[in-house]
Amino acid sequence: MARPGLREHARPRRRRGLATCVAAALGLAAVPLAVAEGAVTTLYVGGAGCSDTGSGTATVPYCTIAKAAKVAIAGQTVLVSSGTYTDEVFPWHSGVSGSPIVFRPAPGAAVTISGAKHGFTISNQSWITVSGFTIQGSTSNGIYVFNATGVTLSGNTVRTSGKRVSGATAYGMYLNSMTGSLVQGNLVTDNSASGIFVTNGSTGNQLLGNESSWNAYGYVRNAVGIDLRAPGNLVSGSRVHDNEDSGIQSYPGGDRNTIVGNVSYHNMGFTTAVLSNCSAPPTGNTAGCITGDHGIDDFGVTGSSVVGNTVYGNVSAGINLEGVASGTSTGFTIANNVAVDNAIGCPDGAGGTVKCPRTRGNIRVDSTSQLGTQVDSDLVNLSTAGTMMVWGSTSYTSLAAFRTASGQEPRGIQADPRLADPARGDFTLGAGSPAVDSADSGAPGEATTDAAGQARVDDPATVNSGLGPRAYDDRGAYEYQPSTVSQVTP
Amino acid sequence: MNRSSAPSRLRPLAGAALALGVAVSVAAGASAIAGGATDDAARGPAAAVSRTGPASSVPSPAECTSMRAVAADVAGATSASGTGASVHAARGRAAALARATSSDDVREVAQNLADDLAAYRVALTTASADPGEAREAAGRRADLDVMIRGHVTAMRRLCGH
Repeated sequence: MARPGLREHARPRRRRGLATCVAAALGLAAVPLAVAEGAVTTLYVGGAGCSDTGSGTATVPYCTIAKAAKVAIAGQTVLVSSGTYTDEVFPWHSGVSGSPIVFRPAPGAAVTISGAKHGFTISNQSWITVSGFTIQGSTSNGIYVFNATGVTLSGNTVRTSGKRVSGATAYGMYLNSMTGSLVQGNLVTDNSASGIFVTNGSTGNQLLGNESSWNAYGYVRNAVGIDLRAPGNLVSGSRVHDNEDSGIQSYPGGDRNTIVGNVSYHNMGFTTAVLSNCSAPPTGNTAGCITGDHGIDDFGVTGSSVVGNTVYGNVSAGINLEGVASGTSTGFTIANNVAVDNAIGCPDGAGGTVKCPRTRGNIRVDSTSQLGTQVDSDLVNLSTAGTMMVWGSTSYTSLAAFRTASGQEPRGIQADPRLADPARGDFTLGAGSPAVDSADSGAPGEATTDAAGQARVDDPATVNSGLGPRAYDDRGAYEYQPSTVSQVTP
Repeated sequence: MNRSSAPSRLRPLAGAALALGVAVSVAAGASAIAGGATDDAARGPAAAVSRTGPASSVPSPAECTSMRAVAADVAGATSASGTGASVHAARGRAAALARATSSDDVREVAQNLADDLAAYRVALTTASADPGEAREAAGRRADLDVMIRGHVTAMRRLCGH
């Protein structure tokens, strides 16, 4: 019998098989609970008349997201009304593939979770979706995931996690032993450690279209936009900028990652807010140690691809590969990138560093990381004289000199890529850019769409000079979109 | 607007209940849970128990002992006399602690320590004759050393030191 306003809450008709019940009773298997046919599919949180001892209906919603998280089961969606909540949201059950537990604001609602230890903690639960929340001021990591699969984190804003004090710092998203999951379209900014941290065997994850910026410890150069310490993940379509350390980095443990179609720029630290709690040199400069680093940094990792990225105006070498054990083949591919004006100067706040820039070049491969590294089809340029490329211990001021000495970049181009407006963060290609229709679409990880999700386009005004299955892919993160299109990828 | 109250984590209850094999209550409560919008009272007291249970944040005395041992290892490994092997050993201990603990907080700080020790070891053992590369490695090592000390401090704080 349905009560008024509770039509979605039909009587439970759950029929669990005996074997399942026995297994659960014996603790033999964590069989996810699922919504029975005809049972409620939506739980409501927030609004007039709310009660955590109520039933979570539209008319008697729960007051806290945490309460809904405690009872929600596979196939249920938790809709949250506008407001600021202080819950740490900790789902107590897993969803299942095809029927996740979904947390999201109600249509049109703006929901902030503020001041909790974590905004969301997804620990030992899988098939959980968290979409559209603003999580700020958490005392620990904004979103914490451990031992989970099938997680979707999308469209969230995660900011101001932790404090810029040793022992109190926190990541925006901390993803530990997370597999087969999607992290998409999130803004992760102004946290006191790296924006997105992927560690401890997290693999098979897709990090797509995230923006990670202005993350900083404040006392040591170590906060990265996206920090990979685990293997076999895809990072694509991200915009990472103005971080204290590198934009994207793969550190030991982060082998076989694919870094494709991202924009990493202006990771030069903060030049306007000089902090006083820096550790002593040589860690940082004397007047504020936040100095920035590479656009894409690969340190002591192998088997990865850095393909089709735009890397611009970072304080150290734009794309950096170093620290591979001497004599080990890196299995590394660097291709189709646009790397411009990296390591050509230091920001105001970095002037006191022992040596700034610490490393130079739009692309740098150190002396232990040359074996098995392929570098080709990149477009590089400097607007002022400087180091264009580094191969081993030798710096080169031109691509031609680098090519002659190293044998790399047979299809490389040194030219102005005609970026639309880098000063305003617009790295799309202008008409006539030499990056257009010249990439190697067969490079590992090269995508059929660009960083904005637009299909590859054959510019009718440009003669195709690319390689691979499509001879018209553009170098860099963005595909030039001509007014007249002659061919679009399916 | 603030509609929330303190999170009702019931971590100790969850752990105790599971330890006692009360998982049968999950099955008993399943029909009520299927309604999705039932409160704890309606589901019965045991139905509030998570099937896996939220983890405790508080380290056990044994974990504090382990963390002190890890901290001692790290101090030696990152001293002037530290070697790649000693860093590797310290990293292994930290990683083992991260794997073994049921505390989210201990796991995080131990994992962070293990991660940065792994990077520190690489920075320590890839010494180059090239001055520029050597300087870069030294700078990276110095930054990681600050991070590692921070992780050790966080470990001590977890245990009330």
